[in-house]
Amino acid sequence: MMKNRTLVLIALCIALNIGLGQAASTLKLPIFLDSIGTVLAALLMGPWVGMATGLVTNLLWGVISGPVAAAFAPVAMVIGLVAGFAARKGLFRTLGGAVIAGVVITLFVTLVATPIRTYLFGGVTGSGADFFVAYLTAVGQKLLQSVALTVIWTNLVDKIVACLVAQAVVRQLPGRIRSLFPGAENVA
Amino acid sequence: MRKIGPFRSFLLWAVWVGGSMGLPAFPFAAVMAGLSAGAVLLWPRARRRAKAVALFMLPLALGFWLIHGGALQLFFGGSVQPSRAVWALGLWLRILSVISASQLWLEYVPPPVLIRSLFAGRLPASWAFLLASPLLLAEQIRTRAAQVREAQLSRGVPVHGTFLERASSLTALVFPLVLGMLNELPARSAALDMKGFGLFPRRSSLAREGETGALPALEPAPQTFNGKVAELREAAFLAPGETKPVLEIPEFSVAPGDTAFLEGGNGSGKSTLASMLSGAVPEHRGGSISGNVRVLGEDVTARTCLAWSPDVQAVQQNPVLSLSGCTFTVREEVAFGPENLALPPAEIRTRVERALDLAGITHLGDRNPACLSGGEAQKLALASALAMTPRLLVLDEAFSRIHPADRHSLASVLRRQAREEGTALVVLEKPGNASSPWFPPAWHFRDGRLLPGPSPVCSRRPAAGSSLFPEKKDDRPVLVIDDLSFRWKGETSPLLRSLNAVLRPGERAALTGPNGAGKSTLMRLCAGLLEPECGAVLLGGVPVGSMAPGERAARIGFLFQDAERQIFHSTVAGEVLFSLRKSALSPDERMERMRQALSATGLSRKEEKHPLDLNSAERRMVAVASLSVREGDLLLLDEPTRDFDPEWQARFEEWMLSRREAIVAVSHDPEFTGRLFPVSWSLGGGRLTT
Repeated sequence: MMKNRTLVLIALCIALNIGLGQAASTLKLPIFLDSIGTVLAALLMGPWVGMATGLVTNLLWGVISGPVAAAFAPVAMVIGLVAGFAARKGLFRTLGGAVIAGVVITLFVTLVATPIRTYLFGGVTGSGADFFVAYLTAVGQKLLQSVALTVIWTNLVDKIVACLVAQAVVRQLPGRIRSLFPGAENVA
Repeated sequence: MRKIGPFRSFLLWAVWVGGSMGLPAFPFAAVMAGLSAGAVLLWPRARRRAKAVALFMLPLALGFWLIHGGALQLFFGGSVQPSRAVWALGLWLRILSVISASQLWLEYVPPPVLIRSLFAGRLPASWAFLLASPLLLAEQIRTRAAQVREAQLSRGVPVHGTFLERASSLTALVFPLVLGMLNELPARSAALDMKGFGLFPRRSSLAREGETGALPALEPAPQTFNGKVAELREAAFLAPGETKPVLEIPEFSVAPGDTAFLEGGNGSGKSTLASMLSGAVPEHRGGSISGNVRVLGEDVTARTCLAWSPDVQAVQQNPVLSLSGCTFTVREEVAFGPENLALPPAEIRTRVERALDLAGITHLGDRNPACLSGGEAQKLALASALAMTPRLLVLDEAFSRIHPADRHSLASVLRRQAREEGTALVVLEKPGNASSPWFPPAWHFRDGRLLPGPSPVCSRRPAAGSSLFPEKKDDRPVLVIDDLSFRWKGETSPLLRSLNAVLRPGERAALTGPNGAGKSTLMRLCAGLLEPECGAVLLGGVPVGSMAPGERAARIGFLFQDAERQIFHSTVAGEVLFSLRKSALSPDERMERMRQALSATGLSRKEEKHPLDLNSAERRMVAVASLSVREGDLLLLDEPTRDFDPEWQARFEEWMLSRREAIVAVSHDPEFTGRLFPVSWSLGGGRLTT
C-alpha cells in the first residue's frame, strides 16, 4: 500500500500536468508543458512513482476530454520511468545532464508513441504536424519513419524544457520540503 | 428501464470499442460509427459534446486526406493507391465510433458519479483518490495561477507581448506556483493521514448501501483511560541536521475533559507542537523528537500519524489544505474520515450529523466543499475532525477566519463536548487577543520554549503616529478616482457605481466595508490590473490603465492578501533584488537598498535563507521588503496585518509610517485603521463614502 504522502505528491503532480498543460495552450506557447509534473514526481520519488503519475494523468485526461489521451498513457508512463532512472544515474546533477535526459526521454517517447500514432491513428494527429508527415510520405518515406521524425521534432524542446524546469524546481525547494524526499539528493 | 451502473456501462463501452477496432471496417465499423455519432446528436444531454467530437474528427479527416488521400503523392509524381484511401476512410470511421461512444459514456457517467462509484467499488481506494483529488487540485492551481499572474504583473513582469517575453515571464509564473504547491505538500498529506485514509485495507462507504459484511472490527479502544491524554517532559524538537532544538518543552500535560490554551507569536513553535502531538514527526515534519512525549500513555513516535488518526486530530489553520478532494458535498467530506475507519454506515451517519451540528454547519450539508468561504471551510475542517471522535483535539489557529461572534459559541460547544466525552483540547493561538473565546491562556511560547502562564506584554509599543507624514509642498493629488464604475463580465448590475475620491502625497486612507463589497476589486482598479467600465483612475494625472506594466510597477506598490504567493527565488536577497532588476542603480547601490529594506522589515541576517523556510509573518515581510526597495507614489495594501502577532504588527506599522508614498489599505481591524489612517473610505452598496 502506498503511503498517503506519496499519493498526495502524485495527485499534486497530476494536477500540475493538467494545470500547466492547459496554461500552455491558453498562452499559445508552442510546447505542451504537460509532463513537468511527471518528471518532478520521478525526481522526487523515483521512476515507479513517476510512471504512476504519467499513467493516471492520461487516464484522467481521458475522463475529462475523451479517450485519445488514454490511448497515449504508455507514452506518459515512459516519460516518468526514464526520467526516474536518468535521475538515479545522476543525469540531473548538472544543467547539461538535464538536457541529455530530455533527449533520452524524447528517444524513448518516440519508440512508444510512434507505433501508437501509426497503427491506432494512421499517423494522423489533426494538427499542423500532419502536413509534415504528408510531405515525408509523399516524397517516399515510410509512414512509420515519417511519424517517428515528427514525434522527435514536436517533443524534443518540450521534454528538455520539462527536465530543466523540474530540475530547477527541485533545486529551489526549501530545505524543509527537500528533506522529506530521498530522491532529491540525486539532483544537486 | 433499469438503470445501468457505471461499471456495466464501462463494460458496454469496452465491448463497443473492441468491436469498432477489431471487426471489419465495412460494414461493421461504418455502421457502429453512424450509430454512436447519431446517438451523440440525438441524445439531448450529449448534444453539447457533439462540438468536441467535430473539433477532433474534422481536422483528423483533413490529416487523413493529406497523408493517405494521395493528392500530394500525385503532386510529387508518385502513384495513387485507392486501396490505401479506403483503408484510411475505414480507420477514420473506427476512430469516430470510439470517440463518439466515449463521449456518450462520459456524459452518462459524469466525474462525480464515477468518483463516488470508484470509492464505493472494489478497486483499491488509492486509485479512486488519484482519479479524484487532482481535479480539485487542478482547480486550486488555476485560482492560484491567476493570483500569481496578477502579483507578478504588478511587479512589472510582462504577461503579454512577444514570444520571448512571454517565455521569460513563464519562470516568474510557473515557479511560485509549483514551489508554493510543493511547500504545502506536508500539510496536505498530514491532513489525509488524519482522515485515516488507508488505515484499513477496506473502507466502508455510505454509497454502498446495505452491505455490512466483512468489515474489520475496530480494535476496542481503552475508553477508561484515566491518565493524562498528553504528557510532555523535557521534550524537544530538532530540525534535520541541527543540534540546537527549535522548540523545548520542559513540562506540559493535559487531562481528559480539560482545555489547554497556549499562546505564541509567528514562528514561536505552535505548529511544531501540533505536529509533535499528532505523530506527524518525522513523516510530515522532517526532524526528530527528543525527551518524553506521551499521548494516551503511549510514546508518540511509536505510531505513525495515520495510526494515531482515530485518537488524535489536529486542525490546521488553512482549511483548504485539509479537504480530501474526493467528495462533492460537505456531508460526504465529513463522512470521509469515518468511512476510512470502516465503521458501520449507521454509526457514520450519526457521527456526521452530530459533527455538523456541533460545528454549526448542518445548513451547509449539501454544498460543494470547494466553494465555501474561509470561515465556513474552517468549520468544515473542525467538523471533519470531530467526526473522528478524537480523544485529543489540537486546534492550531483553527478559528482565525471564523467571525468573532461564532468563535465564542463554537468554543463553548467544544468545551462542553470535551467535558462530557473526556476529550482533551489543546488550543494554539496568537497572543494579545483578549477577545479570544479561550482567554486567559495557561501557557505561552517564548524564545523556543513552552512556559506556563500568559505571555508577557508585547515589548514593542504600537506605533502612535496618527499625524500625517510631513507633507510635500506640492499639493497636487497623487491618486484621483474619477467617476469610476465597474461591472464583472456577465453580471447585470455594476459592483462599483461612479466612485470619486482623491488622495494627496503622503496621505493614508483606510478602505473598509463588508465582505464582497468590492474592496479588493477597487484596489485592483487602482493598480491598473482591471479595466473600469467607465470613469478612470488617475495617478499623477495619467490614467493607470494606459501606463506600461513596468512604469506602473515602478510607481505603484501592491501588497496582495496572500503576498507570499509571489515568491520564487531560493533566497530572501534574490527575491527582494528581483524588484530592482530593471532599475538604473549600480550593483553596490542595489545591495545597499536591499540591506536597508531588510533591516526596516526585521529581516536582517536572513538574506541567504529560503523564503519558504521562514514563518508566515517573515514571509509576508519578504513581500513588504520587495516593495520597500523602491520608492513610488502609491502603496496599495490589501489586509496587510492579517496573520501578524503584536510584535510583527508593531514592526510593520513602523515600516508603514516611514514610507513617503500615499497609502490605501484594506483592513478589517478597526483599531489599526482608526489609529493610523487619518482618511477613511468606506465602500458599501457599490458607493464610496469618504
